[in-house]
Amino acid sequence: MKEDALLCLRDVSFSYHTGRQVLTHVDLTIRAGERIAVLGPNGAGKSTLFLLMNGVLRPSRGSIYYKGRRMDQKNSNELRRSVGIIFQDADSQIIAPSVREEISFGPMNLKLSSAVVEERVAHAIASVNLQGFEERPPHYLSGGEKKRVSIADIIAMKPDVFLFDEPMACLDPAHARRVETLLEDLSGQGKTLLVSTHDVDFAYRWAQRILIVQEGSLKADGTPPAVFAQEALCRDANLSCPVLLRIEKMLESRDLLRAKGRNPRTVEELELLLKQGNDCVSPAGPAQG
Amino acid sequence: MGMEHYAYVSPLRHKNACLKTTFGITVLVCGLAMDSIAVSLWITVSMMGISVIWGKVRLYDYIRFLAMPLFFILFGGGALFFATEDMRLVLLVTLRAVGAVSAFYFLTLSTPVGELMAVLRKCHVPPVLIGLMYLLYRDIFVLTGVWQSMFTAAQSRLGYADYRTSLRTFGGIGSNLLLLSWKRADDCYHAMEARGYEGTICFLERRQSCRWYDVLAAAGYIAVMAAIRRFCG
Repeated sequence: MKEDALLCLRDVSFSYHTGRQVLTHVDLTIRAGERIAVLGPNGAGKSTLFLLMNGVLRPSRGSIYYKGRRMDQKNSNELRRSVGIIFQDADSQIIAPSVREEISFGPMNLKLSSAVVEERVAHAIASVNLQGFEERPPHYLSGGEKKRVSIADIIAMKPDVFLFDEPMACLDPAHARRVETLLEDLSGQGKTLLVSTHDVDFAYRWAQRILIVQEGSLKADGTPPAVFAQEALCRDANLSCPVLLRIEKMLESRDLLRAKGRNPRTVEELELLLKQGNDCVSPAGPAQG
Repeated sequence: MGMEHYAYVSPLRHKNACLKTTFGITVLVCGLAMDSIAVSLWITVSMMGISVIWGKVRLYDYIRFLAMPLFFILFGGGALFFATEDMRLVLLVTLRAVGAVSAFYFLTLSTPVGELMAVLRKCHVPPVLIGLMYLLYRDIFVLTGVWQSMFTAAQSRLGYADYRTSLRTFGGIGSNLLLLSWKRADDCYHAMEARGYEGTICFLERRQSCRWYDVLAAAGYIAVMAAIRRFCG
């Protein structure tokens, strides 16, 4: 096992009591500080994968290692402390009658002193910009606000790894952007992030690494350009090519982009590349009059 | 606005929840025990005053809230009158009931359910019960929301076109809601486990200071009750 491996899944399979096999032979190593997007159709096993990584579900076969230690029934609580899940449906996560109490649930379960819990709750509320909402009951919050509460829930537990299950689903563009900024912030703090999503453009610009899960197994694992270069695989998983990658290919094929294979992640990066390319070209080009 | 909402926005919300609960229950019990028309009238009027003036509840809403129990109380009073033909007794029983409801409305309109549950926890009610209450309370709103959207969706597809169809739609929504809450229970349990739940639901306790003048005011109110009982009978 590599030195910097944080979370390892070794030949993990999982099936529910009904016998339905959800995950088969998953091998995965996650290193500290990585930003990983998990793509794949609904029902492919992404949520189950997350529940396994957090220790709520136990693998039917194979094993999970955290910081090199094998996680079993006895120390599964350690896994829950170090890996936090933000569920897709905030309503299934929120249980308390007020925002402050809700966010305190996780830290209280960590058996921290009330002074520390209070400080963590305040910090979590500030990091999702929900100051002034402390006493609000969750049923008077909007969808986007509930999402932020569910993220603050996990921030207050200070885990090393954050698992986001489709965090942008059902959010308006403003809230989706807010969540993306939050992801940037957490990543800046050195946290390890896994985000399951259907948005290939987001995955392409945000992730350092992409996993494709389909029919219960890991079909691809690599950098975004490498994964999206495998066209047949993306077609099988019903994933379209990110718009920026298509534009880059198009520009390259028409010889409009000199700097080849640079894979700009954002429109701004592409613009910069185009500008640099043209700057290099212009002295040799025809004189402007 | 509903009662629930008033409790959240009430200026009285920030008063100590334990004090409010003790006060509300004491007034309720004393009002019943003192067995006096004057005391009951005092409770009814003053509680309305407190809720409307300090609690900022609209008078119209307060009367609307009171209308429902009042209907049953007056109904009972009427029945009692036909049985005993003792007008004083009828008046006494009716006013005591209205007074008791008013005392409880003070509590309901100033204290959100979550804070009441925190008070119960301080009174050493078993944690299992408190945990269940938290989950039930939360689920009321989630399931009502789901029901509301299913109702609208059914309505938009003529699900309530006539009596027979409405009955069928009602049954369909009911059974769907059961299945949904089943699934929700599963999801919710997973989410709680993921956050380290080990059998007891525990939240950060809110610290509410108990001001001396609030205690004094509560004691004064009860003293006035006793005085009315002593001098007006």
